[in-house]
Amino acid sequence: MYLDKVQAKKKKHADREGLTGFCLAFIPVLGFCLFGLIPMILAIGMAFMNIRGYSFEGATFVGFGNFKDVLNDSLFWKSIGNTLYMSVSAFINIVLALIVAFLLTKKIKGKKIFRTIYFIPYVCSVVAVTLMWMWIFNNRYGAVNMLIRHFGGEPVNWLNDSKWFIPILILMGVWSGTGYGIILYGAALTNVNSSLYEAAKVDGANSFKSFMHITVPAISPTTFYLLITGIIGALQEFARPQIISATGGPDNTGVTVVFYLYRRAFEYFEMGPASATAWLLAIFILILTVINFAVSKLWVNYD
Amino acid sequence: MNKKLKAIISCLACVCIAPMSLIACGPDNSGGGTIDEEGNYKPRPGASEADVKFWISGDDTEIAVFKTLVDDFNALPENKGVIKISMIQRPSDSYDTVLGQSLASGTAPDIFYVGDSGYKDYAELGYLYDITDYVARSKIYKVEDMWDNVVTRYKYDVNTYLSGTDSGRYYGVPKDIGPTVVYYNETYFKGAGIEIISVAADQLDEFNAGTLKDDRGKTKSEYGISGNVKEKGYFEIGGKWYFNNQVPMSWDETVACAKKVQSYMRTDSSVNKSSGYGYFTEWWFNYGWSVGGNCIQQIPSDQYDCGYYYDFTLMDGTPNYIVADDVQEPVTVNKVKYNAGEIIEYKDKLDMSIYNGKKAADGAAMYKNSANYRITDEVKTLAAEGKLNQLPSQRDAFTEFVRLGSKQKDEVDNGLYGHEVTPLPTDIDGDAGKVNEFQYGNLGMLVDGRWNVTKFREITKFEWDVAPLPMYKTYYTAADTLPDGKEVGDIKVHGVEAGHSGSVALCIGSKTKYAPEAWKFIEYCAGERGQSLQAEAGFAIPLQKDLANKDVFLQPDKSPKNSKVFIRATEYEQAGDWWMLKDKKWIDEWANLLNGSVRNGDLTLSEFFNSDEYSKTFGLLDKYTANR
Repeated sequence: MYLDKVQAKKKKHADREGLTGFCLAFIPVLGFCLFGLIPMILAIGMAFMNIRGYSFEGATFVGFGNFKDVLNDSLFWKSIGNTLYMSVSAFINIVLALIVAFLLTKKIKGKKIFRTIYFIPYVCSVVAVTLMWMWIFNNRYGAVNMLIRHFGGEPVNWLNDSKWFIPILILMGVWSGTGYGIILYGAALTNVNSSLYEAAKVDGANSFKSFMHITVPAISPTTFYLLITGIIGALQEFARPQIISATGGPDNTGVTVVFYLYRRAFEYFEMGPASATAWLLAIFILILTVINFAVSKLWVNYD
Repeated sequence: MNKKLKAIISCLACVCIAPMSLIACGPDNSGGGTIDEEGNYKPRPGASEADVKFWISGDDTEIAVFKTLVDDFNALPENKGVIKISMIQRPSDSYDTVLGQSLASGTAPDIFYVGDSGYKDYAELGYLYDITDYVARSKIYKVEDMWDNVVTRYKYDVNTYLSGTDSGRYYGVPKDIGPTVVYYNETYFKGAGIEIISVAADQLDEFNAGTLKDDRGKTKSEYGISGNVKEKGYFEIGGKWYFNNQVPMSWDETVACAKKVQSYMRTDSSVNKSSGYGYFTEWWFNYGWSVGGNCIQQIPSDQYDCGYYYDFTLMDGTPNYIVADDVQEPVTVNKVKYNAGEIIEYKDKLDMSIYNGKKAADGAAMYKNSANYRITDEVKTLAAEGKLNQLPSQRDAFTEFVRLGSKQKDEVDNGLYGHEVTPLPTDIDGDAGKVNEFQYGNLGMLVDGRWNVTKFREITKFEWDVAPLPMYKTYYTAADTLPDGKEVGDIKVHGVEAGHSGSVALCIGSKTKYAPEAWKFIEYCAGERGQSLQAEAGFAIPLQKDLANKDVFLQPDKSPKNSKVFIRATEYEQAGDWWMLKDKKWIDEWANLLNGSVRNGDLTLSEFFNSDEYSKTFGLLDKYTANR
C-alpha cells in the first residue's frame, strides 16, 4: 500500500517533470521548426522549381534546371573562389591564436587584461568593426594611406582594388576572430598535464620539441573544433563584404557564395536558383566537414 | 532551479506565445469604399474608420513635409472618421530590403515608396495594385498637366517589360521628380578667377548687343567682356575666364573648368583642399545619351516572339548621326522621318539585314562585335550631303566619361589617358558621401539631383548654384572653312542635352483592403497642396508643369538662383539604365569590373570589352526576351 503510494507519487512527479521539460524544450524546438526546418524543406522544394518572388503560385517544376543554372554561372564559381580565398583567415586565426595563447601562459603581468583586450574585437558588432576598417583603409582619408603619403609613397585604393579587397577582408577576419581562439586555447593549454613537460625535460627535450610533441597533440581537439567552426563560418561569409560594397566589390571579388545566394534571392527574386545555391553550399560544407572528421583521426588526440 | 519555478516559467512562456495565434481574429468593419466614375470616393455605409498604413523613409525635411500632409489629410472634414493615414517612418538604408520582404510575405503596408529600381519587378510579381482606373477617373491627378517623361515611366506593361506604351498600366504615381544638374561651388569659381554669367543661349544676341542684362542683372559691358559671348559654358575672352551657368559645357570645357577649379582648391592656401577634386559624376548617361548612344538597344527580330531582342551596346564603336540644324524638311532614314536636331536611332543607322533579323547560331558572339554591323549607305549618303552630322560613338562617349576619373598616368583606351578631375565613385561612399564632399568644399562641381537642395541650403561657408549637364559640342576654329553666317567659336556640331532624373513612386500594395482610401491619399499628395509643400521644402519639382514655373518652386529669394535649369532638365531627362529592363541583373557584373579594374587603371576599355563579364551580358540580356 505504502509502496503503491510512493510509486504513484514518483510517477506524478516524473510526469510533472516531463511536462516541464517538454514545455522548456518546446520553445526552441518550435523556433527551429519555424526558422530552420520548414525553410530547409521549402528550400528543397524551391530548388527544383521555377518560382518568381516568394510565392508558390504559378511555380513550375524544372527538375535540376536551377542547379544547372547556378553551376553554369561563372559568377557562382567566382564566388566559390572568393569564399575559399577569404577562408584563409580561419587558418591564420588558429595559428595566431595558438601563439598568443601560448605566450599568455607565461608569467607576465596583466594576463587577464590582455585576454580581455584580445577578446573585445570578437564581441564587437560586425557592422561597427567593418565600418572602422573601411575608414582605416579609405583611399583618400584613411589612416593607412595617410601614413603611406607621409612617407612619400603612392596611396593604394585598398577597398576598390581587386588585388587588395580580399586580403583586407582576411585581415579584418583575423583581427575579429583571433580572440575567440585565444580564450579556447588558453583553457586547453592550462589543462595539459604538466608532468608530461617535466618528463620531457628529463629526457632532454627543448621547449620547441615539448611544444610540438606535447602541447600541440594535447590541444588538438581544440584545434579541430576551431578548424571546423572556422571553416564553416568562413564559408558562410556575407556581412563584411556586403557592408563594404553592397554591389559586390571591385571585379566582383566581394561576392561570396552567400552573397551570391542573397543577391539572387532578394535582389533578383529568383528563389529557385537561390535555394539551389543554398543546398550546393550545404552539401559542400557537409563534404568538407566529413573529410575533416575522417582526416582528424590521423592527428586529433583525445587521450 | 526550483521545479515549481520551472513549471511556472514554462507555463508563462506558453501563455505568452498562445495569444499570438489569435491575433487578427477580431471583427473588422473598416474599408470597402469605392471610387466612382467621377473619381470621387464613396465610403461604404456603416464602415468604421479605415486605418491606412503608410511607410516612408527620407531625411528630416521630407518626413516633416509628409507629416504635415498626413495631418492635413486626416483633418479634412470628409476624411474624419472615414480614413486615417498612419505614417510609419522606416530606416532609409534597409528600406528596399525590408519592403521587398514585406511585399513577398504579404505583410506590406497599404501605401509605400518604391524606388525606380524595384518598381518593374514588383509590378511583375503582382505586389502592386493596378491604379490605372483611378488615374483615369481622377480630377486631381491629371497626367496631361504633368511631365510626360516622368509620369509615363510608371505606365508599365508587365508582359512586354516596356514603359510608356499604350498597353501599359499604372502601378504607382511619381512622388516627385529629381532631375540631375551640375551643382557648382561659386566661391571656388570666383577664387579661381572664373567670372560667372547667366545668359540663356537664345538671349546671347541681345546680351552681346548690350541691350539685355543677364539673370544676375548685369550687361556685357558691366562684366567687362570685350568680345562676343558664344554659346559656350566655359570660355576665355580677353585673357579672362567665364562660366555661363545657363549653357551646357562641352566635354572639353568640363575638363578644363574642373582642372582650373581643382588646381585652385589644391594650391590656394585659403582653400587648402589637397585631396579635393574639380568635378564629380558617377553616371555616364549624359555622355552616351548626348550623342545618341546607349548601353542596350532594342533590335527588331522575327526570331523572337516579342519581335525584338536586346543588344549590349555600351561599347558600340559605330559613329552616331544627327540631322543638321539647317535642314528644313525631315530626313528619312530606314523609312523613319527625322527632324533637324534629332539623332538617328541605332536600328536605323545600321544595316541589320546582314542577319536578316535573326541571330546567328553562335548567339551572343554574333552581335557582340558592333563592327559586324555597318552604317547603311543611306546614312553615309545623307552625311556626305551635309544633312547628317557625324557624332562620336557610344564607345567614344563612354571613354570620355571614364577618363574623368582615371589617373593621368593610366591609359584608358587606345592611347587616351585619364583626366583625373573626379574622385572614383567608391571613394565617395555612396549618396551621402558625395553630398558631404560637396558640402565640405571637397568638390568644385557635383552632378546630382534636385533632392540635395534642402541640404545645400544649409551651407554657409560658400556660395553655390546650379548649371546644366555637359553635352557634346564642337566649335568652328580658324582652320575651318566657315559657312555663311558662322564665326570662329560658333557651334559646328552638337549632340543633344541628355541626362537622367530620379523619381520615387507612391504605390499601393496589391493585398491591401483599403485601395480606394489609399488612392485618395496618394491623389492628395500628387495634388497641388502635396506638390506645393514638397516644392517649398526644396527637395522636389512639382509634378504639375504650371506649378513648377511659379514662385512656390522657383523661390527667387533662396538658392539656387538658377532654378530654371531644373525645369529644363525635367523636360528631357529620363530614367537611368537600371530602369530599362525589369531588373538590373544584367548590369551588376560588368559594372563591378568597370568600377574596379578599369577605374583603377589595371584594365583598358579594350580589355574590358573583351572580358568575360562584358561577354556574359549578351547571354543575360537574352533572358529578358525569352519565354514571352
